[in-house]
Amino acid sequence: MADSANFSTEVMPFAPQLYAHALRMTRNAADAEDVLQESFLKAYRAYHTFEEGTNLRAWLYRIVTNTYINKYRKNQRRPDEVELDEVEDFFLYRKIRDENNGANRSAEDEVLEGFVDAEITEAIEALPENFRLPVLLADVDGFSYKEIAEMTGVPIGTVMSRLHRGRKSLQKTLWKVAKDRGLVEGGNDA
Amino acid sequence: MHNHACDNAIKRIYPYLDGELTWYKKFQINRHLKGCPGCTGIYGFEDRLKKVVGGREPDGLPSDAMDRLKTVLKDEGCEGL
Repeated sequence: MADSANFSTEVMPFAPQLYAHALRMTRNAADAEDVLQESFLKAYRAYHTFEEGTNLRAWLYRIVTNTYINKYRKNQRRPDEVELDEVEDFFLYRKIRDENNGANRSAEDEVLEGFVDAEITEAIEALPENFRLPVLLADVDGFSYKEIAEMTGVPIGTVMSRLHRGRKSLQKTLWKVAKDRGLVEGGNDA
Repeated sequence: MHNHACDNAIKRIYPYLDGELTWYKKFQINRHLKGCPGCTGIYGFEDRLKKVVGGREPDGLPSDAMDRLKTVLKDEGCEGL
C-alpha cells in the first residue's frame, strides 16, 4: 500500500496530463480546474489504498474520469440515451477515395496533414459524451479497452462498440471539415 | 480481391490498431496485409488518422491553477508540495 508521505513526489507529476484530460472532458478551464482539485483531494484521501506496483496513471485517470462523470452527468437531460446516426465504416477513407476515383495516398495525406489541432478538437467535442470519452481515452491517452471499461463503468463490449461508432461519427464530421476547408477536390458540395 | 481473409482483417482493424490482439492474431493479419493492398490502404489510413486524433498538443496546466491545487492539498495535510 502507498504511503501518503510520498503523494507529492509520486502523484503531483501527473497533474499536467490529468488537467489536460479534465479539460478535454469539460471543454472549459474553470470546470477542468474544479475536476482536478476534487480528484486530487479524492486521490490524496484514498492514496493509502493504492496498491504500489499497479498502474498509478490508470488509477488517477479513473478518479478524474469518475469525478467528471459524477459531477456533470447529472446535469445532462438524457446522459446515456444519445445515439448517433448510422455512418458507413471507414467513412473518411472511402470519401477521399471516391473523390479521387480510387486509393490515393497523397490525397489522403493532404487531408490528414491539413487538419489543424483546433479542428480535430472541435470534431471530438461534437461527439456525444458516451462516445467522446472512449475515443479520448483510447486515442489520446492510449488506455486499453479493459482500463476504459473500468474508468467509464461500462462493459468492454460496450466500450468497443462506442469506440467504433464514435470514430465513424468523427470521420463524418472531419469529412465535412475537409470539404469546407478545401482540403479535397470538389468544392463545398458536401 | 475481397475474400474471407479481408473480412477477418477488416473486422479486427480497431482491436489491431488499439493493441488489443494476441500476437498470433496480429501475425495472421500482418501476413494478410503483406499480400493485400486494399486492406493495407485502409489499415494505413486508420492508423494515421488515429495518430492525428491522438497527437494534438495538450493544453498546459496554468501555474496559478497549479498553485491553487497545492493550496487545497496543503489544507488537507499533504506535505512536501
